Parts: sequence; structure tokens; C-alpha cells
Amino acid sequence: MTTRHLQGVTNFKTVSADPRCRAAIGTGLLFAALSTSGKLLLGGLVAAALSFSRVRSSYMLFVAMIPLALPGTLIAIMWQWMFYDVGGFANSLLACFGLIRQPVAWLGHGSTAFYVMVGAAVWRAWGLFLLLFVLGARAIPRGIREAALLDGATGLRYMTSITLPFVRPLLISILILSCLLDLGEFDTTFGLTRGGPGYATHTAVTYAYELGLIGTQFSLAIALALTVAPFVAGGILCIALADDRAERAWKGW
Amino acid sequence: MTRRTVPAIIGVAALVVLGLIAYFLPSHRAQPAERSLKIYAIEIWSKDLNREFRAICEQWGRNNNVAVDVELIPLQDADAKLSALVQTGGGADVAVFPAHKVPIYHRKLLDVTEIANELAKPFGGFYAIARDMNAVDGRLYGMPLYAWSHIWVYNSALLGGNPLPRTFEEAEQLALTLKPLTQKGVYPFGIGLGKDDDAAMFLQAVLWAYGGSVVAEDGHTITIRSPEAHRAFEYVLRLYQVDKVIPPGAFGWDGASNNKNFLAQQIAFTMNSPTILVAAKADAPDLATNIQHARYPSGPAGQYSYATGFSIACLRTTSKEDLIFSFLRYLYTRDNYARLISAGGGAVNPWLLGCEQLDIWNDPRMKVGLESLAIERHVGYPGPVTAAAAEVFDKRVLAQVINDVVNNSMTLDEALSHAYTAITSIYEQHRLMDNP
Repeated sequence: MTTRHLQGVTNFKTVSADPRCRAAIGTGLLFAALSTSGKLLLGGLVAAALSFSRVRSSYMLFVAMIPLALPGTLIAIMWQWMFYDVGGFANSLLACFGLIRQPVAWLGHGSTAFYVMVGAAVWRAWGLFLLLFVLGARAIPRGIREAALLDGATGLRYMTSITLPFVRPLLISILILSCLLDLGEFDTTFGLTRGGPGYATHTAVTYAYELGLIGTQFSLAIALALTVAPFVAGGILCIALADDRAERAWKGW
Repeated sequence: MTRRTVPAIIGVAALVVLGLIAYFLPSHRAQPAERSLKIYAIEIWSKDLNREFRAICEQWGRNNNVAVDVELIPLQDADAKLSALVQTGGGADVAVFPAHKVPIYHRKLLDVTEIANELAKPFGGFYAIARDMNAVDGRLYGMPLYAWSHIWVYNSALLGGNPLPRTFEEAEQLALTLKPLTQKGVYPFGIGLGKDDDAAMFLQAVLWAYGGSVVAEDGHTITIRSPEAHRAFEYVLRLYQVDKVIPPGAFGWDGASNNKNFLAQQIAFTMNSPTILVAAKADAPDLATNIQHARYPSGPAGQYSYATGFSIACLRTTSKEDLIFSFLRYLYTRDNYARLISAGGGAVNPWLLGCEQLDIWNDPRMKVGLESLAIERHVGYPGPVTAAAAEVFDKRVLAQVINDVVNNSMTLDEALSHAYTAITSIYEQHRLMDNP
């Protein structure tokens, strides 16, 4: 029988000393930040455009929410196909307009592969933010809306001065929740790049998977995966605090 | 405590008691079969082979009154499943492992040397590569099953009448001759340079062909920084950076990318098992007639290749050794083994001798894969197979050298030094495991 020895914090020390582990943690945090920002920006801009256009927001919501129904692996395959160097949709389109002469290795270089990964994550869930802004806009009392219109607030100005303050309490919680979900994202990211090229696009979660379930370093993998825990706990605490503040304001405490 | 609280407490307590009674009543619990065997098998591209393997397992189960549960695992999920099996000891009683995983896990696997020798005897023995891949310190920890050869696959319609290359230098010249095809979006040399199996096998073969290696014959002197290894990597880098005959996104390719691109006729030649021909025969018959196979070209130090092998192994802590050996004795009868290999359609190589006369090798293109067995070498060659050598292959250290030069702005010397450090670390880790 194998004798096991308590390792204490040895594995965590190894994680903190290993440059690949540190890089994976950093990449995961950057991925979560950029992905959430992208969803917020895209959802907000489209909501702003919708509020003063003739296009029914329900149609746009339907289109935006379709990716949410798709499995992460399928999204990874779709985006892989779109950004293949040979015969991929993106390169074909760019070549068609004469914007490139040689295929771009979107998934072959770390920097471009990372942004393709962010793009896939944004595309997958930007509909949630659009939904938030659309529903938030509908909840604004008619009087305030009319007063704002009289004052000349339209489009982006209306979004920033009227809609955003109304949805702020919920927005903060959704932002933090989105970051937490992105920190734990696996299907789309690993399916798209498998952490490559090399180790360039590994997040803590995907690198932990490679270490533990493809490699043989189970303990190190668990230690790495647990490094995400403080951020998750912090995020949950922030949501709770934000909700507490909103409740106090609502109840007039 | 209010009047409503008491009934609620009584109700919950009653539910808990009923649940405990239900759980502990023997007649209400599903009785596991007295004799059962759970098998993890790797689901490969050949539905026929998967079906035959399952059929053989289940037939054995019926013959011996054993409840057999065969779980087919897709190859891309196999690493995770098998790692969990080995690390936790639970999941299956016996499993098909990618052969290079056997040395990595050998400390936890059952020594099957005696049964393997017994079963190989009627066949005349194993192919040398089969024995080498599964043995650590002369003991076998995996029962060699079959392998996919790694050969060069050409689309003769895109070769412009040029002959197939016999050396790596000729291959480079051929690729340069075909370079004008890139204007039409077709690349001559279609091989990934990422973490996929094809890239790992290609780089390993090139390294050996140029006289390089990861370790020396003694099995522990790291030789990745030798001039021969340097030349091998220079060759691959030249193809990508200077000749530009490899698709620019090669670092992002997975194991299926070269197959897909070849079938879409976007690459002129690639390195793969004969599965591309099998797929083309089914889906693209016109392309299939243009497909040619050849063994790996030669380099200055000879002709080598690496194959993806599969072996059957079980944990040394198993309590079902008798059942497992009975199953192996049934699987490795001449009839059943021939049935299994035949189901591969010629794209799966036997790892036991004596199967060379099967009808599946009548197609000379398929026979190239079988002939490749003679030039296949094991992880750690020219040294012996060790867990460390297998882990170096598993971790794609060679592919990382190319990646470091191209994507991380290192010189080749720096990248090789980086690889030297990584390999040394892996070897040291295993040395400590063997000598705690």
C-alpha cells in the first residue's frame, strides 16, 4: 500500500513559484475582465441603439440569446472553423475584400488566439446584458422617460444618464456574476484552443485540467484550481454587499 | 414551539426514519452481480472495431457468467478518464490505455509479463515495438493490443507529377516546388505544430532521423541540446518560417485538423494514420483514388517513425486478477484477435505477430502501415522506455521548442535550453519517485 504524507501548503507554494501556473492565473483574470467588459459594452451599445430605433427589441433579444442555448463545445467548434487559417470564414471574408494577402493564423499565435477566445465568450453571453438593459429601460417610469426625451436625451446619452442609474444595483451583481462564471469557463475556452498555442491561452481552470487529468499531477492541479477560490469568494461577498446596500436604499434604512 | 411546529418535526423525523429503513433493507438495494467486470475501451474512428471489441467482451461475459460493462471512451476524453482511474483506483477493472501512458502509470499497474508471454506464444510473439512500449525495467505492465501507424499521406492530384520524397530534404524540395499552390489557399506541408498527437509523432520522428534524441542510450543523459537535435529543429523551423510551406495556423491545429484539411484538399501531404484513406473511401471516393501512402522519409541518421499504440492494463490493487486474465485469454485467441484487427480495415496494426496474411493488407496502401512497424521506435529511444521518457512525450516538450521559437521570440538555443530544463525536471521527479 502506498504511504501518503500530508503536504500542507507545498502544492500552493509550487503553484505560486511555477511561471506557467502564474501565467494561467493571470490569463484567467484578464479573460474574465475582458469578456465581461465586452459583454457589457456590446449589450449596452445595442440596447442604446434599440431604444430609439424602429427595430423591435424582442427580435434582437431572440437573436442575442440563441448562443446561450448552445453547448460551449459547439461554440468552440464554430469559432474554430471561423478562424481556421486555411479555409476559415474570417480569412475568406478578409481575403474577399482584399484586406489580407496571406491567411492570418488567428489560432496559431497566442495574442490573436486569446482575443478569439474572448470574442467567443462575449458572443456567447452578451444577450444577458442586452436583456438587462432592455428590461431595465422598460422599468423606467413613463414620466421620467418623457422628461428625458423633452430634454433631448437620446441614444447613448439616455443610456448613460437614465437607464444605467436605474439598473445599476442589478448591473453590479450581474457584472460580478459574469466575471465569476468567466473565471470558471472551460467548455468554450478549452474546446477552442486547448490552452495553446503552447501554453499561451491557458487559464487556471484549463491548466488545472491539463495538469491533473491529462498529466499526472492531481495535487498540483487541485491547488491551482483552488487559487480561483479567493476571487470567487470575494466576488460573492461584493454581490452580497451590493445587494445589502440596494436593499437598505429600497427600504429606506 | 408552536402547534404547527410539532407536527412538522414529527413529519420530517418520520421521513428520515423511513429513508434509513429503505436504505438498509437488503431486498430494496440493487444487488451487484457476483461476478462483474467493468472495461474502459477507447472509442476509435472505426465503428466496426469498436463493435467487435464490445462483442468479444460481452461474449466472454456470457460464456463465463460474468456481467460485463464496456464503456467506450472517445480518445480525446481518455486521458482524463484514465488519469482519474489510476489516481483514485475507481471506475473500471481493466482499461485500454494509449501505450505511452503505460510507462507513466506503471508504478500503479499490474505486472502482466507472464500472462503476456503466455498469450503471445501461439502468435510467435510480439512485435519488438509492442514489447518495448509496454515494458519498464524488463517487465510488462500493459498487454499490447494494436496500434495506428504514422505514415505520410499524399494527394497525388496536387503533387504535379513529382515523385514521392525518400528523404526529408527531398520532402522540403517537393514542398517548395508546390509552394505556388498557396496562392490558391492550398499548402504543401499540412502538419500541426501544436499539442496534437500528429505533431508530437512527427517531431519525434524528425528528431531521430537527424540523429537527435531526448536522452542517450543510457536512458538518463539528456541530449536535447546536441548538434543533431539542433539540426532536426532547424529543419522544421525552416519549413514554417523560411519556406512557409506549413499553414500559418499550424500551432492552433488539433488532431483532426490535418485530416479535415486533407479531405478538403487544402493540403498536399500530411502525416497521419491510414484513417484519412478510410474516411475518403466512404465520403470522397474521387479523392481516395488519388491518395498515396509512404513510410516516413529518411534523415541523415536513418528512417524512423512513432506509432500510437494501445494496450490493456489494470491496477495492481485489483481483486479481479483471475477474471481479467480469463478475459485476456479469450480476447487473445487467434480467431478473436484476427477478428478485431480485421475490423480495423487495415488501418489498425496488430501488435502480435502472425496477422500479416489477413485480407485487409491486400490493399498495398494499407500495407504501408504494417511495413512501418519495422521502423517504429519507442519513447526514450535510443534509451529504454521509462516513465520519464513517456512523460516528456506526453507533455509535448518537443512541440514547445518550436512554439518557443516562433511565438515566444526565443532563439533555438534558448528554446532547447528551456526544453533541457523541463526534461531534466521531469527526469528528476521520476528519479525521486523511484528512490524516495
